[in-house]
Amino acid sequence: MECEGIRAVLHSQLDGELPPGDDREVLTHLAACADCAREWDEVHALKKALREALPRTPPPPELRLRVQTALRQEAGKGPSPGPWRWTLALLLLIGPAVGTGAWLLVGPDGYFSKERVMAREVGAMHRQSGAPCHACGQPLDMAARLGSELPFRPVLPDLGTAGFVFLGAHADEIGGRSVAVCTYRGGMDLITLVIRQAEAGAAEEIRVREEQGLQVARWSLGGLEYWAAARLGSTYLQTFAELALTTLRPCCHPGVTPGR
Amino acid sequence: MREPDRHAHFEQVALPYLGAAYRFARWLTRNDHDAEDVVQEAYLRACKAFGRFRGTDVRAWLLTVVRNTCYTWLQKNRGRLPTTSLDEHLGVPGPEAMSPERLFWQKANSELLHEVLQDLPMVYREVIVLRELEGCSYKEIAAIAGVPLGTVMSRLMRARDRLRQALAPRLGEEVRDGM
Repeated sequence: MECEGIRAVLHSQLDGELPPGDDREVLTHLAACADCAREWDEVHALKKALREALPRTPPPPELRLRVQTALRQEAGKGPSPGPWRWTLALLLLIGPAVGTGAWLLVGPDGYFSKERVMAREVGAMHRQSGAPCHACGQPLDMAARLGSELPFRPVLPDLGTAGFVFLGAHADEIGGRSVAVCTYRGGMDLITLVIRQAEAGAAEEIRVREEQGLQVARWSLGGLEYWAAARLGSTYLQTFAELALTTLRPCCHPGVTPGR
Repeated sequence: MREPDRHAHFEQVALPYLGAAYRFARWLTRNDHDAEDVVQEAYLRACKAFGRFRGTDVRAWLLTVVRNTCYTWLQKNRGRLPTTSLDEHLGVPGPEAMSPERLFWQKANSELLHEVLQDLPMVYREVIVLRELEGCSYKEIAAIAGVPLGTVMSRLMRARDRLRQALAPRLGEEVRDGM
């Protein structure tokens, strides 16, 4: 084989991709040709330098969690509700005959009730938490920081000692109302906690419900409403909510400043 | 296979290659955060297509999805697609343009190599990353990049020629500076 031919297969030889017969032919040529041997040396050295110098960077630890969360959310996605106009048209068509059905949609605990709409909004926030645009810091610091961006001062529970790691928080808006959105990690699961100013008569006790494949817990305290969403079992989320509520009570949290 | 079983099976066979997917995306996007977005999107896409996957090489298949996702992502977010350089058709100057001193290679520190690899056109960068960092065979690279084996061979050769060309003068400077 001539030098030109050797150059064409030299990379394949170095990559271990040549059949044994061709491999021997290249080695025989290299033993007798200084130019090709030098070329071989240089490519070999480059390959070695690349392998040694370029790190096999491991993925950031949170990426696995993020991908897993996204996959599981995708797996658990229920059918999305149809557009409003179809719902309205349907209601007009079937009218009073299906009053009971309508009650199920718009009644106090119906699909379009304030409570369930908010639960779905919080669920949607949670589904986006795979890519949170959070600022990070400690809950107390973040509360102060968010207080300057929101029309109220949120109180963020610090549950680190209970195994719920605070990942970050940012200011956002749901249905035209300002909210603070925080993310916690409990084990391998993410929990989204949305805080807003409480509506009149909001109940303090914790209520947990399932909404579109997610568990959503809500409670209120000190003029603020808390909505937590996760793919956890309802008992686990209840635990999170209870711990948060305990931590937030003024007796345990001297820094509480409910509203401005 | 039931839907939940299929998802669980996908996680089981695909998540072990998260590192390879992330590194590949990182080299293609040249940005850590973008790479994370691309990897998440690629895993979602792959999971949806998993029911149609009939092969045995999950890593190569997954890296194909990562590559396609990267290309789509770059087109959408940066308004440009990596193209095959004209050099691929016209040829590049031969290795005689580089310094002959093999000692120089030993001076090639990781930062410098990182930098010159980052500057390679995407079609060359991807074959180098797949071959040298991920240890993919030519056949796997051909499948991932969607090109014939001959193109993999020529791209690898040209990629290495370009790396040597880019490194040679800078290593020369380093050696001179060090004297």
